[in-house]
Amino acid sequence: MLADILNHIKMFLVGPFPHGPLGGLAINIFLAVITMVSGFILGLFLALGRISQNTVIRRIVMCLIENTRALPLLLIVFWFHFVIPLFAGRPLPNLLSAYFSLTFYSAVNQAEIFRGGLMNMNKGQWEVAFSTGLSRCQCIIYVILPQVLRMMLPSFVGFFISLFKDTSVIYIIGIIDLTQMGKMLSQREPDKIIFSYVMVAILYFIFCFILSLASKRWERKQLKWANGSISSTV
Amino acid sequence: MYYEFEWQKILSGQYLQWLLQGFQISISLMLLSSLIAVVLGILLTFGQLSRYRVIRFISFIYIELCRNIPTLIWMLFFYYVLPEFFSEPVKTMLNTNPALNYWAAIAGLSVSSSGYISEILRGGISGVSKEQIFAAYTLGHSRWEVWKYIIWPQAIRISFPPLVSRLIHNMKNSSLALALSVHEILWAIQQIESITFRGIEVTIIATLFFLTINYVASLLALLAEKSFYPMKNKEKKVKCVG
Repeated sequence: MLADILNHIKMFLVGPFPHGPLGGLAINIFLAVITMVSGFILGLFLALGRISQNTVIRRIVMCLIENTRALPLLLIVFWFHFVIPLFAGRPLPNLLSAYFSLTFYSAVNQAEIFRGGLMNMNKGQWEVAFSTGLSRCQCIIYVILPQVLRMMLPSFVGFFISLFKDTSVIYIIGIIDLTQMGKMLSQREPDKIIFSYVMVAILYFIFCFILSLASKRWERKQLKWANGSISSTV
Repeated sequence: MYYEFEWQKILSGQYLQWLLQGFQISISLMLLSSLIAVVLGILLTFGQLSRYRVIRFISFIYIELCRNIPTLIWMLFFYYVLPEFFSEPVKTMLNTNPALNYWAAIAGLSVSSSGYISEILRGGISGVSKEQIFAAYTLGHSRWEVWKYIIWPQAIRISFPPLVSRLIHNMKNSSLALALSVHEILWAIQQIESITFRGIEVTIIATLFFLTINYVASLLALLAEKSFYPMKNKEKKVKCVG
């Protein structure tokens, strides 16, 4: 059992990496991190569009966000798979279409988290910032966003966990990720079916569980911080 | 870029049949898995609130497993691994059963949702203040009456919105059954695309399907939520009459 784990752990972690493309858990983590970052930036702009004073922009962004959130990730992947080749003239590499669709998905969801934070922000913060002569843009950058980020950090971590779990979907479009690795091993050595799937599940579990523990810890710390600031002002 | 839509080709014969079958199987996946997930979630919530430490511990482990392993892995697990645990005759019976993938998809969906649902319900129940429960006991209500009249109406109001969004998420996740080649809607559009190369038309159809499901579910949730506030509605009526 231990020998099995030692023999195959490298395959689960990085796939056929030195002799082939990066795969296994590494590709899941890589995709989750880069789509989280690019989705964060795009999502910020979407959220700002959503609270924009221009009604047209607000309506369009709202329509985009609401309708995209109603679609499963797999369907978004299909959209990018079918539509982009029309513009580009040739099919995209699998990894790139996975990147685009996951970015779009994470942007829309993170825009919703941002909006939650912006909505919950105390009205007084806006008023004070305006009354000190800051413009709307400055007010968002210097006053509102830092607080929103701090307040919504647990939500972002929670979303990162769910995004990481959702990256398992990409094996359907043929990327050799952790799930695909488990499937390949079980097909090559049919007596190891239980081993390979349990291994995949354990690796996912460890990663997500550590993240969720960190998120919970941060939440508690933040609660303490909030309570402390209240008691100090009173 | 110039693209000519060919709806006629998609919406006829074999393809139309695949699409209709896809709608049907998707909807049945969504409804059945949501139902089972809610039932499992309620049982788990009682498990979490149990007096016995062993039951609490088991529910905790189960919930963490549900929440930290992707739905897709659960489905693959039920499809490929579960038959391995049985002895030979049962194993072959399961592996040759054509509906195994359908039931594995339902099992995977409901297991991975039940953990979230249980957490949501527990949150709702712990949101009911302890004083009210003590007061009710002091007034001589039985355990059942306290559940029925004090805890349940308040807990459901707190946990209903996140519950609905979780169930809608579960419905979206039903598309993952494609990985087990259950003949649901995304399987249908993938098949049709690979034969006819009319990818955009079929994707539009699937998109409209999911949007409709989402809006219908949201509408039903809105109607249901109104029924939790009978007092509020009455007040409004009185105001109108006055």
